[in-house]
Amino acid sequence: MNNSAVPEQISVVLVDDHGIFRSGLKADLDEGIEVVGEAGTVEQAIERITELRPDVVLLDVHLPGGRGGGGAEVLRGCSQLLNTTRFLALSVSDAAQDVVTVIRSGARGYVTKSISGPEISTAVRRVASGDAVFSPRLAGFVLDAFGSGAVQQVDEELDLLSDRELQVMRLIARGYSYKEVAKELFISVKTVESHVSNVLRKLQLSNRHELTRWAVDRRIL
Amino acid sequence: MRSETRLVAGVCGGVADHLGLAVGYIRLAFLFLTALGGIGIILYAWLWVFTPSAQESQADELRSAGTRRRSLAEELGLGNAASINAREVAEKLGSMREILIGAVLMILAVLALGQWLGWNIRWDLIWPGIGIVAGVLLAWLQIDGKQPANGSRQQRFAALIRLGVGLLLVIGGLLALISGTVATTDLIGGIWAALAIFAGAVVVLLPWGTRLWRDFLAERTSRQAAAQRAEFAAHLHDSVLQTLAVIQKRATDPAAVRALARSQERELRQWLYGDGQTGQDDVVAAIAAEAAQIEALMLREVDVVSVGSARGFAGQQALVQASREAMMNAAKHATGLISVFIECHAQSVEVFIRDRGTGFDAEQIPVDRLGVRESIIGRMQRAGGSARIRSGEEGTEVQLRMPHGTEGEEKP
Repeated sequence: MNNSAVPEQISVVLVDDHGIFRSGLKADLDEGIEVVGEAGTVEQAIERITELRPDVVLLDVHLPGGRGGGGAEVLRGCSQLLNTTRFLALSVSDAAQDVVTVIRSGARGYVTKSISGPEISTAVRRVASGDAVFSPRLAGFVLDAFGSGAVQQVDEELDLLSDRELQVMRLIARGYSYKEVAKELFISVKTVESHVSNVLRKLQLSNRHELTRWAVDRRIL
Repeated sequence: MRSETRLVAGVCGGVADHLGLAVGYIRLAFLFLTALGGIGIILYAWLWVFTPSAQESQADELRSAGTRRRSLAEELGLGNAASINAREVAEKLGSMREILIGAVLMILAVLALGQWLGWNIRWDLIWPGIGIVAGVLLAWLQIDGKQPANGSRQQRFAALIRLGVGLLLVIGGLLALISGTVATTDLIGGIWAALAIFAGAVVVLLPWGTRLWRDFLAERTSRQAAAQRAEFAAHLHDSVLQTLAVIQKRATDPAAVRALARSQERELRQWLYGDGQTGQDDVVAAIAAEAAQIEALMLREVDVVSVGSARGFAGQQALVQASREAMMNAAKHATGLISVFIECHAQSVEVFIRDRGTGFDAEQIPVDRLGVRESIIGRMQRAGGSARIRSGEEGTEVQLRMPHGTEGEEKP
């Protein structure tokens, strides 16, 4: 995760099939964030993103078009851009299936559509600088998937969350902001960010038995 | 249309309904016509083929009604009218059918007696006639019966056999009738000619037939889609449109609008994605239900995140009530989002309720204020759990912990 400096002006493409929601979201974003393009379907989104190469894509999980894969299909279609363009998933469904699918396809974070204006701008900035954005609910899914019990020792790095990562996830699930988590654990915000990024990487790459079983139980994979 | 309460195909009942006469008279009339050289039977068959059964015409009506929603009265009337009648009459009809068969046998016996007495009975006409009527009955009765489109293989096999036997009886009867007047060699030649004509007709009409069949299938699937759309439309009308109307009326009250939108969202989400797997006795479901209630009551946002599930442990009731009290306090005294996090471990269940208020000092709660001291801390301790309250400038967090008993714990 190359933590490149946050650009002055962040270019954003909005991908959502509801015009009303797109215009509302555009009004919510602050001046530092410029909406350079919008798309309403899977094909449109892939085309616009490849053409415009924005810093951040705000991606709805449910999209018409394509082969019915929604946001995850857009991510697969843009897989060669994942190093330069960051994807932040927006969802109204909150279903574990939708969220985990887009995260595992490469999205850098997930927030619910009811998120407030300042919060979404912060989230866009954070994603643009290469960090991960976790909502309380996503943290809950992670804890559920990796098991919230204490870990004795980290033998397979990808498959287990460290004690510290578990603590961070638990605090985020309790509704703490990154700053509050940092204060609570007596660490810097940067450290919190790196813990969260690590968790995201593990969630994306892990083939852990428990994760698979968890997913199968919920009919995700 | 044909009547639902029937001996054979409900034709007499249908005619009786139509003319406003008693069924018995119509049946007698048909029997009389039958005695006049069999016209009754032909008329009966003709009516059978060309008038729809009660069920079919009901289905037709439903289809043409389309997406229009039925009133409750109509809805009630639909199912009941047929089923009550059917059940009452079914037993009576069963015995009537036996009597009918008995009557036919009686007539045959009388005819046999007549032959013995020296009447000239044309048995070579009667037997094929009976065979044809029996075959037609056998084949046609199935069409009227309940048609399970996806019935078991056994059922379909039985239906095929009945159809085949019916066909054999009819063809055999017809051949027997003809063989009285035509020589056997001519008959065999005729059969070959008939087969050739039949084959030619099949070749010409086959593509047409398959297209009709495909059209029929397409229409059926579109009908199912329409039914589903109608269900969606009905639901959206009942819930979402009503809520939108209320929201427009209360547009000046942001808190109310927010709460309405939120509760509608919750309901719609439940309807769309609701899995119904977690029972209400689950601690997570119980606390989520309390949160929903507080949301509706206090017009506040409560965000519930949970890990794992647990049910049926000793202090569950106390834990849920203490959670409710803590959420209530947060809704009353603090502003902003209320975050609830429920974590079910193997040994205990923890609940965190956090608000973004200005906070208060837990030590300085007046003794007479029962809210926090009694309803949260006291309640948890009495049930064997513990409660901690942390309060600061960034809000207050109530931490509840209830150890699991050994009984009935469950963690997925």
